[in-house]
Amino acid sequence: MPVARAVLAGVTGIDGAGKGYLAGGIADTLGWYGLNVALVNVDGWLNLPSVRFSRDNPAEHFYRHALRLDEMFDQLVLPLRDRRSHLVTVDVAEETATAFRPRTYAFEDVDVIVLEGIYLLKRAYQHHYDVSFWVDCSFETALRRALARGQEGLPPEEMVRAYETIYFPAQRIHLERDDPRSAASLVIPNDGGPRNGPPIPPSLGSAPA
Amino acid sequence: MSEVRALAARMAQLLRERPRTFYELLRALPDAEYRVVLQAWGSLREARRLGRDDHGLYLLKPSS
Repeated sequence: MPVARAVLAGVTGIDGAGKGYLAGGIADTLGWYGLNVALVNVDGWLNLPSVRFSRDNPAEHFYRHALRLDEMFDQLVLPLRDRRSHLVTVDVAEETATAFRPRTYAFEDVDVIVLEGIYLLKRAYQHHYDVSFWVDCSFETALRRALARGQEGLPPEEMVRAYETIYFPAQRIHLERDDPRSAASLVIPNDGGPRNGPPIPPSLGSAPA
Repeated sequence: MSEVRALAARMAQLLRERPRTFYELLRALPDAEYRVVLQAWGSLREARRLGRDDHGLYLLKPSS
């Protein structure tokens, strides 16, 4: 392991836990202290819908195929961590994309990488981090926030169905299989506050905690 | 504050020895809490003592 490298911090939790908010705050704070921070979001490393979704065992399939985390670590995160500077053009696909597009990451003399997203504490990746944060919240709160955010671009009924049949069951697989709360350096409770979104209408049901 | 000042002095000594990355500084200060590390780092920065060499490593500039 090179000594002259960057610090790697991981910020993770279930969908809607508040990972992005915390990661942004960490990056802003470190930047305020004059450190050179690379804030990297895993969302660009989604697989295309045809790969990440399946009608057969949808939760297990999503857990295994939602993200291209191996590619992300190999092409971006580990080279950047170990050399502190990195210029690379990669294929990215955001939530609603149906095709990859090229994106160039250019970082120089980075002190701290703040990596944010779901599944960062799968067992295969736990050893990569110098420090890691699990942002903890209930599935019900997460669903409220997801509905308020609406980033999947789905009608509310479809979003609830997607969360209850795919995203949350996939996160339960993650919790059982990888025990990310225990693997994290710090667990941050984030189940309250004004960012929770409005209550879920009874007609939409609610996710069990 | 004395804890911050003491840690800032240790950081300054480490950077006086040779230029280092922030990661190296953390490794050299395993007993320090991150919050105090940032406060000490901030005090060096406010005093304009931090510079970077050609490789991007932090070094200690002479006090003005």
